[in-house]
Amino acid sequence: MEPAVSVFSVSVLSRVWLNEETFELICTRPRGFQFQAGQYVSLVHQGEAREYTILSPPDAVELRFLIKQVVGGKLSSQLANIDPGSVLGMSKAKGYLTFRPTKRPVFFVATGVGIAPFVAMAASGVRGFTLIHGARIESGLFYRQELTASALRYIPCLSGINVTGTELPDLYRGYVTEYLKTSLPPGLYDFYLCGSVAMIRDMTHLLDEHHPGVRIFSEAFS
Amino acid sequence: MKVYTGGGDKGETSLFSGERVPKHHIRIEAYGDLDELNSVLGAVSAYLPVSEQAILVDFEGIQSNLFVAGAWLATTPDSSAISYLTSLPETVSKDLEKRIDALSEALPELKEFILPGGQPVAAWSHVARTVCRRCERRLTELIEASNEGNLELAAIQVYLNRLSDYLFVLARYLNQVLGTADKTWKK
Repeated sequence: MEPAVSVFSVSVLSRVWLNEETFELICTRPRGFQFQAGQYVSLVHQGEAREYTILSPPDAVELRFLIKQVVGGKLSSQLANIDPGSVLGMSKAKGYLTFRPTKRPVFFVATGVGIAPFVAMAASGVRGFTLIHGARIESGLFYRQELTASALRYIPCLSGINVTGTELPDLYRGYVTEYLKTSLPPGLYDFYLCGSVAMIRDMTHLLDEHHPGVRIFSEAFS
Repeated sequence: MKVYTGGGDKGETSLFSGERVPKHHIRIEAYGDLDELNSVLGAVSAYLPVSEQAILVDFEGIQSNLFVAGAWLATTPDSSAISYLTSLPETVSKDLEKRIDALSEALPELKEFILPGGQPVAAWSHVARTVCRRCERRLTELIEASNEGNLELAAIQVYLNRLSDYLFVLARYLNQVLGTADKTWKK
């Protein structure tokens, strides 16, 4: 029996691997399904459910999801091997990490697959933001080219130990929190955070301490 | 998505509109009290006799309305986050008045002060009433402190005032249907 979160049914159209552990799953968009850029859904298959942010903009014909295959992760392992044509359950769209127009400078900060809501926002036409994306290695900087084109400034942060040979414009070698601690001048900003609990916690404390008056919108995943 | 982030471990939290404020900020106090009220209503609801279906329906609506109200209290008025909020349904306070009138029909006229208590479910309703009154006080404080001429907050103020009355009448009604008479205040 599927958990009660499943309201819609979607069919898997295809899967595209972006690196050795992360893939994009492309599904049909069910009739009547509405969402805002940055929202997420629960995907359900064979009794397993997990939440994934929609990569697509709200007017898209298909729904795209960025999924990391987690060791021991039941649903992500199923989805990594699922056949096109398979049917998944899907909840209504949830979450409040959606863009709120502002006159303040906007910073999007993501680690790993936490980039997904910002891909959706950029695809839906949001511009003028600074994007800071943290990953261990370069292949984890998903959608770098598209986001570089949409962002006012795109700052990749690579924290892996073997990235000394990597050359990218504006590359920072270290964690996103270290970058912001050393590089952000005082000011009133709007921050959107998406990533691990540790990143959200550390970033929030950092901003509280060094940048009183900022607004913070965040979504954490495990 | 994770319920916890630890972002509030040092005593600050985010409003719905994104501002970071201390956890004793007047907005947090205001919607925190609404949250408490909603939880106490849950306790009342859990004790309601199954025969009182109309009241259970009332509670579902009231508890949802308190979520709507809480979102307004958690949002600064000049924020673009306002566009994400929905208004309380226009008739909510009038609907409560109708329910107060309907419940009152079964009750003897009240001529003296009564002591809060009686049946457990009625006693919880009195607790809910007093928490609701505190919510009103917090709200008026917020409106005064933030100088907000917000129509939504004004509507919430009316609603909370009516809800307090509803909970008082409900407590008496529940005691009555469960066979417990009002205990009057002996001077």
